Amino acid sequence: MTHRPPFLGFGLGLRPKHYPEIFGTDTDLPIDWFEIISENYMVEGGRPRHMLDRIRERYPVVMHGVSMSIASTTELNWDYLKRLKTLAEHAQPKWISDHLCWTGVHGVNLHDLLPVPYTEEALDHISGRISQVQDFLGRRIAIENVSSYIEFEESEMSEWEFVGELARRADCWLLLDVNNVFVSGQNHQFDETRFIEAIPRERVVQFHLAGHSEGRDCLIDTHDQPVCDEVFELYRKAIAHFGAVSTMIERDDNIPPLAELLAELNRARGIALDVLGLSGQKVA
Amino acid sequence: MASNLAALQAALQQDIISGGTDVLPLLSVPDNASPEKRLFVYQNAYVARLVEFLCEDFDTTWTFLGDKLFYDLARKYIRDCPSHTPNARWFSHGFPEFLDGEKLVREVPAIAEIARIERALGDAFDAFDTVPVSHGALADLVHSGIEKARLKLHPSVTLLRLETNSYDAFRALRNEQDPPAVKNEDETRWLLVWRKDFTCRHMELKPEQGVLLDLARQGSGFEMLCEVSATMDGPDTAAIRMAGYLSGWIENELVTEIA
Repeated sequence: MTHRPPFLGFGLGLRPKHYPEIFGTDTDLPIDWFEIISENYMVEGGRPRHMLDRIRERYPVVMHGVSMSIASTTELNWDYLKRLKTLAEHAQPKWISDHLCWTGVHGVNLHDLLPVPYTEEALDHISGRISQVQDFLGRRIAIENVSSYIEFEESEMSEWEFVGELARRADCWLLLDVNNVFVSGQNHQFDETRFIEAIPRERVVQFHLAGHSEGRDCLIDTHDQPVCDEVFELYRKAIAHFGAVSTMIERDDNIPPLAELLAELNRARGIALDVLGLSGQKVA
Repeated sequence: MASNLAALQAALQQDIISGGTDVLPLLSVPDNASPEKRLFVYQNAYVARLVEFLCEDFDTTWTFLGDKLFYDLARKYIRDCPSHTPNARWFSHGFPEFLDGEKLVREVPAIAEIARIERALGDAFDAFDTVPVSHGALADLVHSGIEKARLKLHPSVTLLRLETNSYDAFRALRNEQDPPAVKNEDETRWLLVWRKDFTCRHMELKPEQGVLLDLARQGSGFEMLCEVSATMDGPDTAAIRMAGYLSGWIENELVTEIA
């Protein structure tokens, strides 16, 4: 395996609502890097590409997609991948990530992150597609575990066994979404710590922290709430297990002023520094 | 029943779209959970997410129609025109044409026109970047012979022909005012939508300018534009009027090439 991507410190998902706050000050904000939603910038031009260029002048950027549909049994969307590659050549991200999911089959896109059965067949299928994508992009990608509300009768192993084995077979990186581990753990009644500790350390290059909501029958991964205490506690365990991993707050709805997200990010930074025994030092 | 990954995905997708429950025997949930409720999370999210895309892209049309009517039309669009694009940005692009086929909208054509205005603004927002020409380029062309010159317009430019007072309603709603009663107009109204300085803009054009800009967009040369202008108003001042329009188009960064 080639060298790991760099530890970037503590970042945020870039959202247009925060452009005025980000660009309206000459003072350095306590943000080490930004994650962009790839699809939002896979457009011809205009303000999105302009703002991306401005962000790149000041911050490292990583690209995070929602539409690769890496687990779909439909042929890979090469037009999408070409556009993704073109954006990556322009944006020069530190890494590119997408989800361990499928978004549709037979030409339909449900615009959701749908779960897979944890079977040998799925492992073979998905690891092969990740390899195809990595060959095409000329770089390793990071794959993120998703929140799920159902599992499948035909599953032959646990999610953590599946994720770990997938990363080894595909030789890819992992983006560990701590909130997704928590949400799925609650929904499927598994031990979230066991999940964390089963994931191969050397594969994880990024953490997501996010909020969720309580549905009628389960937790829903809504990204419209602050990160809850339980997820921060799980993050503490993740840092203890994986060490320093680039961490970000992911907020997609009910987006608050930047200061509120910075406070959450500062809490994550404090936990990491505490666990790593570096309190009082700058880590990024 | 499904026994492999492809069949499982097809079955789950079918139930998410249709609201069906055929896939339930294949699902696994904890003993104290309901597989129906868990499946419904995906079914509900599918519709809610796509309705949200439409609300974002057509928020003035939504305001004009009100929640119930808009949601009914949105759900019908989702059913009849499921997304085939990996980028949600393009899912809603066919909504105005879908509205054309709806009985209610055919009776009130202003609805689809408002939707077209909103789509044009969305298209202008992230259209390809090109460098507009300056007045200097026009001066150069005057010296070298402008008669055969053709214009290339900025990729963000859309010209809309409106048969109703939909633009008045659109502007009122955007300003959070009550819209006027919609009505058919006696004469076609021309609306220009484009982007300048990363800001999407819209402006009504007088009919002569609308026709001429439309001809320019289609590739007609300056001489032809002057001839058409002469048929629409005073022929003696056609070239002067045309020069004035061209100057305005350059000022507004509508023109990216004169050759």
